[in-house]
Amino acid sequence: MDAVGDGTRRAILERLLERPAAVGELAAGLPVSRPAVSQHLRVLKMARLVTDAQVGTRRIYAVDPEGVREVREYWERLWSQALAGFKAVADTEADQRAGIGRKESSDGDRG
Amino acid sequence: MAIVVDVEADVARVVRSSVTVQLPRDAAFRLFTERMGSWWPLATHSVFHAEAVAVTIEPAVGGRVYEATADGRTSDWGTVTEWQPGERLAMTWHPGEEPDLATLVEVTFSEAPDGGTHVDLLHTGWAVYGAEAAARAADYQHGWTALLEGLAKAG
Repeated sequence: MDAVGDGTRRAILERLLERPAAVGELAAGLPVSRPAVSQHLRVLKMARLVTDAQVGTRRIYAVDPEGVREVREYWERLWSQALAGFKAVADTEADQRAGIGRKESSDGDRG
Repeated sequence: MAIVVDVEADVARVVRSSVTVQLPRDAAFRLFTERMGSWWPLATHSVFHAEAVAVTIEPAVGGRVYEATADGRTSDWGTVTEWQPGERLAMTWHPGEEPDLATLVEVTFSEAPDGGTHVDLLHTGWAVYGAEAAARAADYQHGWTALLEGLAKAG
């Protein structure tokens, strides 16, 4: 897309999901400048996806577990609801099949 | 079949959901893939909401996954990446978002002891997706709440 493209932000998140890191460490492995990485980190922090902490002379960035947990819970609720819907339709269809089977065997050739 | 306990370090980034249904395996797979619109909560989790009438999963690797309205408008949800009829389906998953925000959904169908079918769903890749979507939302000064509302609408 552009110099501050989405791929960079995603790469930063992937690295932080592996382990916490300082800006310099993140920038060293990416084809963008350190200020650009800092800008992405600011956006991610504003979105509550990243937290930071001062460790000695270094500022260490890490994925905010609360943010990840919120997304996780959203998907858990959705899939649970969706699969419950799937089960309702599937079991109704299974009941209908069983009903047809019983009807055919009891009605002989009328069906 | 024994329950496999997931002890991956990144288990927090994996969502698993499963259900056992009475239909035999082939019929369960067909219902899941051929008539997704009949069981998916389209009214609340679709791009077109009340206007959405169907979800189509094209039955082959590379097939489109999309919702449609009665008058023919469509919105892509993903692309089929694995297609084993009656056994397994995998697809990229990005309802309401561009393909570059795709996550991955894998669904396996196995025979349950009582003759029904066990459906096991694995959803991965959403941690980075969520981060990216949230970051985009923050870019527009809408923040995390807007993202979750957007997900709830587009889900």
